[in-house]
Amino acid sequence: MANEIHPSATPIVAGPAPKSALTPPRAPNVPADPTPGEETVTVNIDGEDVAVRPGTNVLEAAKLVGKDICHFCYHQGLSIAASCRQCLVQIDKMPKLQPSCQVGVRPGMVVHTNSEAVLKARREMLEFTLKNHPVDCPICDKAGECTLQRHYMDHDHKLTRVDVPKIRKAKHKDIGREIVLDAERCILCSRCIRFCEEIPGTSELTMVSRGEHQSIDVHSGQRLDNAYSLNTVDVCPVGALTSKDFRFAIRAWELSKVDTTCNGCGTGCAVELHTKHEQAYRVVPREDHSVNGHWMCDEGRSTYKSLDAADRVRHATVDGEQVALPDAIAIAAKRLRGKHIAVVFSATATNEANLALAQLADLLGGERFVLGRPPGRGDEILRDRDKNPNSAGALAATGAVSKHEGELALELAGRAYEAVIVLADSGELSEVSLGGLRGITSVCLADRHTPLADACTILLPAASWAEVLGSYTNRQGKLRSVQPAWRAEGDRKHRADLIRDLLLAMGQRDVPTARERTQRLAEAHQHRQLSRLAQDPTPARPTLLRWANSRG
Amino acid sequence: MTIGVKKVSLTRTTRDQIFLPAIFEGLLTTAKHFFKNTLTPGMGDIETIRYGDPDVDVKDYYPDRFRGVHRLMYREDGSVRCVACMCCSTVCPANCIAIEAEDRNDDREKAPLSFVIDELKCVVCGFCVEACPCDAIRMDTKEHMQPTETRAEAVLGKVDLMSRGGPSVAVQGGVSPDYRAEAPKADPRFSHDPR
Amino acid sequence: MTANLRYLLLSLFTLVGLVLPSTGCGDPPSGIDTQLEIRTEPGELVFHPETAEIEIAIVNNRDVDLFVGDFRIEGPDWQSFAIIDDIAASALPKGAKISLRIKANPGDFVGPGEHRSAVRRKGEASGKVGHNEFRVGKAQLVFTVSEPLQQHESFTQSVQVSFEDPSWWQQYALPAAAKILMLVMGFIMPLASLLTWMERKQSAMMQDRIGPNRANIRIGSINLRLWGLLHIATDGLKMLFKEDFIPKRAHRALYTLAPLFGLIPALVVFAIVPFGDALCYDGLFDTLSQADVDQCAAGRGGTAMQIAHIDVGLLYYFAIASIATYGTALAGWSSYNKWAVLGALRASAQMISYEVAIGLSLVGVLLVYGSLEPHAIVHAQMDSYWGIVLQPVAFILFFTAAIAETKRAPFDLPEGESEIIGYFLEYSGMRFGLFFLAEFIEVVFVSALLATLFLGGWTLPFGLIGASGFTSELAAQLFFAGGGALLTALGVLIWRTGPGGELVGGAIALLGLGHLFLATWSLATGWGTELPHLAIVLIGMLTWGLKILVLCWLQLLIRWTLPRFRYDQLMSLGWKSLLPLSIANIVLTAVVVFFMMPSADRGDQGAKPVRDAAGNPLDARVQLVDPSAAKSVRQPPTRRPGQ
Repeated sequence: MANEIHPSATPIVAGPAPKSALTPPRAPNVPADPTPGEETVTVNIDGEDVAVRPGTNVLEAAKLVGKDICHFCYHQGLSIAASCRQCLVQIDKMPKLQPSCQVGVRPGMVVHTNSEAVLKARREMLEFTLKNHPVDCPICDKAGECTLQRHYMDHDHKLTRVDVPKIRKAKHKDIGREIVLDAERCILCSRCIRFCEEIPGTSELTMVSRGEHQSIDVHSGQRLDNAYSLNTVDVCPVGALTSKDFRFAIRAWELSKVDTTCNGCGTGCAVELHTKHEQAYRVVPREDHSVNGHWMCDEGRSTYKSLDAADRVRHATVDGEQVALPDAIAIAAKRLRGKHIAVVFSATATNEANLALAQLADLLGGERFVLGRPPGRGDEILRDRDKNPNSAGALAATGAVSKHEGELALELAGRAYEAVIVLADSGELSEVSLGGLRGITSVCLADRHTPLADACTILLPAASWAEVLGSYTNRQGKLRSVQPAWRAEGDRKHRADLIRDLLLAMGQRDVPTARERTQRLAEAHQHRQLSRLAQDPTPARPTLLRWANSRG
Repeated sequence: MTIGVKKVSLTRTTRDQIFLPAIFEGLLTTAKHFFKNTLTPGMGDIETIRYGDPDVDVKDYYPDRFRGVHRLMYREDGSVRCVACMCCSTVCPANCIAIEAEDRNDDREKAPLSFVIDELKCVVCGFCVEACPCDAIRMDTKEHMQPTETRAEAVLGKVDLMSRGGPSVAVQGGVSPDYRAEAPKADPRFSHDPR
Repeated sequence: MTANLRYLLLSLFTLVGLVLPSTGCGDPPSGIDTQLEIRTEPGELVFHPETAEIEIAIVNNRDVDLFVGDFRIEGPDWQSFAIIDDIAASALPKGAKISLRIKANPGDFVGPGEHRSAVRRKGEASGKVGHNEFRVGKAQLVFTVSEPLQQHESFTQSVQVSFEDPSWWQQYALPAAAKILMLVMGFIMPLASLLTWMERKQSAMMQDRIGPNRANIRIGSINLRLWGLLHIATDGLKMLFKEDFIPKRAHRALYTLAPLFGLIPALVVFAIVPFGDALCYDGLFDTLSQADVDQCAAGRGGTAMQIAHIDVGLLYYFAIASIATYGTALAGWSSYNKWAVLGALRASAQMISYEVAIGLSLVGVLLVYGSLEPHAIVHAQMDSYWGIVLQPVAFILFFTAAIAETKRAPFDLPEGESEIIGYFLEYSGMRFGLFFLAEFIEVVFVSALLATLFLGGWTLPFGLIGASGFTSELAAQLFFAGGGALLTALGVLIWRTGPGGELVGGAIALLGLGHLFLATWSLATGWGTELPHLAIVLIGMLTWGLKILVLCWLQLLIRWTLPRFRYDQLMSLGWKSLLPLSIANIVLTAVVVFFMMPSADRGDQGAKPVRDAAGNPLDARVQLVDPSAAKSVRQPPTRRPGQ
């Protein structure tokens, strides 16, 4: 074997982008926080002087002093409309209240965000916004994370004075593959329209009618079917646009969230995984300006479905019989020894698992392969053709001498190997190749029952991506962190730990655990967040979203 | 400053020392209660209310705000008022309510596919009633949860809960008169003749 | 109005009382004699191998003076019986009695094995009687009775004389088994079970609660609750079906034996408790005299209403009761639990301490009544006064010590069920149930012993009732009137308690009314001095049971009234109060008894000389009794021979 990865050596799995790195979506409104050495502008907000980057607006500047000016139509990742008039502030030397989202900072500016006039304007704007809102929060999926709800609770909190019938508009209108529109709830902030224009550039949505009867709708003959359509649900401050997939599944406040990385493609978008009771309900994007900005694709949002509890691998099986995990490890260690072996790395597994497998491959010898999901559709925005989250890391772990997966398939079909160890269950192999696996000693570290996993003679229960702490290397060569959302149930273990058990069973010593590997990786790549997670013996528990502010 | 200690003299009289007079006094007291409670009409001094006794109608003893077994109200068309907003299951301190929502594909959009209350877990706090925005769940049945043979029998489903329910005409948003004003009398099953 | 009603009722009862006898319902004494038949006590003579002599009294219960004489033995075995001190005809004034002794020669009835001389009647095969067995002998004591002026017209009267040797099982085993069955299954166990319910129901009533009332049986639409009485059954079932848990390191054999050590002595001590005088097999519906009953009590022709007639009586109780201490000690020790051992130590120390007081407190009673044997003590109480009158201090001392011995509140430190738990800490299921049952059986036994020693056993107070009936008409009237009034009032009260009470209350009230009717009848006809033997026995047993029930109630009342003693207080009460008081009671009693007993008995002469009240040696004699001093106005008729 050409490459030698010593277990204690610092592994480098990330580096310069192996592919032409795509620039993340441009955010029109950057945070007001100035980068060091940059020229700044000083403004006074509520009696507090703050130095901000020139060109930012008052709303962003106010965030720096902890003043979260309430707003509906403004979004950091979108252009400014200033249509909701909710963010009005008082600025000295200006005759009227000004929308803080639209007014840029100027030196010496004095801003009052909590003056009597501002509060009154806020309250009255809110009442005006609520005039035709149906207040059907009990059946609204947005309830609990609704911006309108939050602002009403914070700033108005009064009974309605409306005694005329509310304007009725379209309810639960199917406007797209993933989206349901409730026009009554809409407060006409135009965020969704701006998103469709600015990010995917498809412009399906528009305003129709006038006055009280104004509402959003799709252009006639069109449907909201772009690949990023679900972001309109995220940006919607109310429950006007809701996801069909998430519709009525669970109330938002029941969910817990954990910060992790999307494993749908090589982009590695920063996401939150929303779960309850060891079941995932949705994936939503997390703000990361270096990778994905505020957005993610619809395809990535459905990756949580692979965490379905029904087809989880819970116990080790040897030749179809359920055995205790230590016994299975011992059997696997015994059967793998001294065989002509194929070691199959996985582009869907974490760096830690791949590195551990590399250590096993060093011990056993044998051919190295990388297996992963087949390529899919990509675009110039976020989606990558490579549907594996860790292709770069897996390749780095193999030492770049891996064979193409097609070769493995052929060789397995031709019974070229006496034994195979497969790191993960994903990968599309032909029926002939799978038949080849059934005939020989084939060890698979699987978290789900897939055709590949079921074809292997020894099945070791591995933890899924929602159960491990680890890292991926994305297409930009960045190290992305993965965090557990719940404890792996039953015998399920981190793949790196399973291979560690195998190595220990084969007589190796001082094999690092998964957590130690993560720590080393984080140190080697100066990944502060990952390092903190790995050092903390009790990783952060998922945060309950209940009463945890609004999204959108 | 010194602390004064009140000394109580504990001189025992002969009467105290021979115990017997005090014992007889005690026996007399308890015997008096015994005979009064056994031989006088109306159970003497016993004021126990036999809650939960199927043979005894104790509903008259209950205050109006007594919280009994839950029930689910229904609309004029007989469908359940609940819209599966999960407010009750959220506010429930005992986590005894489990609701599964369904999409009705009509104007009401959302309704409970299943609505399950584990009455064994329930702590009868009434928060669910307070939290309900639709006057769908009430605890005004004045019924105790009866003991059951199995635990499963104490887990009430939508059908059980609605069988106790009654019609409610409350309008969502609270525009109608207070629903409590016209509440339980609508159902003849809850009118009992006062003793 | 009420007065009118009363008169109406009285006349109604009187009418019924007058009409009923004439219809033959009653058994009014007939004034017409076809024969001059007079009463003998006993009415029939039964000899056993160990009974060589029987004294028979011939009583003139007629209204005229009589002559009796010409005593002789007739019948098949006339040779084997003899009249000691044969007497000639003598005058027998009204109310007087003459007594003579009859002797039997058991050797004449021995079977072939030891057949000595004897009489072998014709046609009787010798093989019929086995070795060491006795055959049945029959004869009659015959005498003549005549009126003084008409001695030529004398009537011959005969009294059955028999010799029998019932087999062991006939005389002992069968009656004993029957008595044990009746007492244990018919009284102790039901009462002990009832107490488990009574304890809870009574405490509830004392504390203004409802108590157990849940267990019910639903038959169709009828829901039987019975005031929670069915809890007895449910409790028993619960105990039986609970897990039978034995601690891992317990001594399994002793762990199993310990509850039996608690239960068995509690049951066995009942052997000495008399629950009636005696039952005569043949004379159930006859009026019997005390002499008849005594003969039955001695086992001849009947059986004593006592499982074992043991002369050492109470000593047997002390001996057996102390075994129960082993039960507690072993239970604690074998459980392999330090708290159980501590409980066992508390229990053993307490029981041993209080046994001393128990023993000594009863010595006074023994001195007064001159016997250790409970049956004899009850008879002695009949003749003098009840123990509670003569020995009030002993009553309180014994009651206190006995409650401590049963380990119940206020002496329930060994058990301490409300917090510390005692020797049966590890016990569950029916093993615990045995301890529980033993405790209640002890409660019953303490009540039984108190009733026997201090409350006259089966007898009614003031000697209201004797062997042949109420001792006077007034006694019968008082008894029925008092009991009737009490029962009626109770019934009415229970009736008024509300739903469920009507049936029971009505039944009790009806019973009370029946009593009142009997009182009226007695007033009208003088009925009541002669009652069938069975009625006397039943009244005795009812009286005995009622006394025990009241005493049990009292014990429960005490248990739910008094708070628990501290352990040092318990010990100081036992050793520093009860013990000295018992000794003082013994000394005082001894002195009083010594100075009150007849001077002839004071010497240490062994057995008392056999003499009658007049001091004469036992002899056939005529004893004149002042008729006006007789207790009853009307003498019971003599038992008719052959009946």
